[in-house]
Amino acid sequence: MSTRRLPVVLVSLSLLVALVLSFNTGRSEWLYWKPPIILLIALYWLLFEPQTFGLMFAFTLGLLVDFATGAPAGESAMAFCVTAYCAQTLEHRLLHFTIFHQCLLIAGLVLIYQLIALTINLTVYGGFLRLPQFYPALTALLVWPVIAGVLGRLHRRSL
Amino acid sequence: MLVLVLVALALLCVDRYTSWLETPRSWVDSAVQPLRWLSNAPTNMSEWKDRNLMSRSELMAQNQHFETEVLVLKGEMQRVVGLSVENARLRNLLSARELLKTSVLVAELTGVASNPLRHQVTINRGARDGVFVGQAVLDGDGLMGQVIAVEHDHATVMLISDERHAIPVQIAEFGTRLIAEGTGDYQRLRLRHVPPTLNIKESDLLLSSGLGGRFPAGYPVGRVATIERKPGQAFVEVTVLPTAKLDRSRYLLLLFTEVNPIPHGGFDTDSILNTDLQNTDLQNTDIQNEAGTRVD
Repeated sequence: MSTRRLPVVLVSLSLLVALVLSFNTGRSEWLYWKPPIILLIALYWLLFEPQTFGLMFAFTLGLLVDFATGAPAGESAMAFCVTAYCAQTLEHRLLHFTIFHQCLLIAGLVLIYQLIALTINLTVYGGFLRLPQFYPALTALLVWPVIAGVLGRLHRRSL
Repeated sequence: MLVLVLVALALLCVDRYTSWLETPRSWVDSAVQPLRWLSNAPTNMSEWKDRNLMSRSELMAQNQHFETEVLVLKGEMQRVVGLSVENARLRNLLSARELLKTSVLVAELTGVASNPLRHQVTINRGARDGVFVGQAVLDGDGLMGQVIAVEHDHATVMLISDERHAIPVQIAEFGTRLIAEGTGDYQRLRLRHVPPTLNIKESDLLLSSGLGGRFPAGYPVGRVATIERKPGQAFVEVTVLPTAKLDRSRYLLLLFTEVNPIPHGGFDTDSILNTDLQNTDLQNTDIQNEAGTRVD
């Protein structure tokens, strides 16, 4: 296992693409439906390269996202970190599930992420909790097979 | 994990109560600027295509349209000349000491915050162009928001529809002062503490009142969309539709306001208007091609 080389290029490229996609908002009516792509990509690497990517990776990535999007520093860092922890505990089961069950679990993880991020946002800034703020969990459910499929294929080829 | 969560909590507190994290934040912000540009590339490209691959007849039609528009605006401007002279004279009579002079700088939208909780956009003007924190930002139809962070070559603007934002307004007709808060929805602001006795109607225009000193007075903010009078409630619930196209405008205007003392004894009408126009011209020459050819 330890001799296997890490697909550094693929990892950094996927994260860059995720960042670019997350900056592009498209139409404002769809804003609430946007899946948390960075989180999904991070989850993929956490689940499929667990030797290399751990909580520290999730934390650092979250902090970068916070700085890049103007969120209170530590918001995504904490949410990413806790979600990553949950993903790690689920890891062994998750990989043996069918893609449909995987999707449901991923949606659950995204929900956890959102609950944490929204709670922090409400405490720091105030505001209201509304149902549309949880839509990304649904879109994540739809997007996960695509991400897992494409990244999985590229990942296997790079090994 | 616990350690990292604690670190995150500490970071949150540090970020909330100090400004120590501003430096790393601005580094990351500058580092991801190319990514923002890249994410906007499809929009830019289609716009470039629209602008450059146009048939002659289309261009001529557009030109015609612009010429009429310029004529109409010039006509309006003549009225403004008269009005501002009159206004200056009246202010002089009221022994007001100063006169506000404004000029604008055109900026292009380079990015939109990726989160519905934060209605923020980035623009391609920064400290280099004299942009400052708290500066008011307009589009062609009304107030859009204010600058909240400035870097060397770009700046971040918080829109008036952001949940954290509130703006002092007045009803154009009677001048009743109110506060309009953002709701996190681009098409909706909320008026705070509207007494049931207030004679407010749908489609009433709201202007910025200039109180609080952050926004200049007299710019359109929105029109009253719905009024809900609930019996037994202390206040009426009023929602407002912003006049600015918060989610669609790609070219924004940064407003520079100068306070000029009114010279006693009389004043030169030319100095009120001509310098104003010149200022605008000077600041816009380099982007006139970009911004001037735009049509909605």
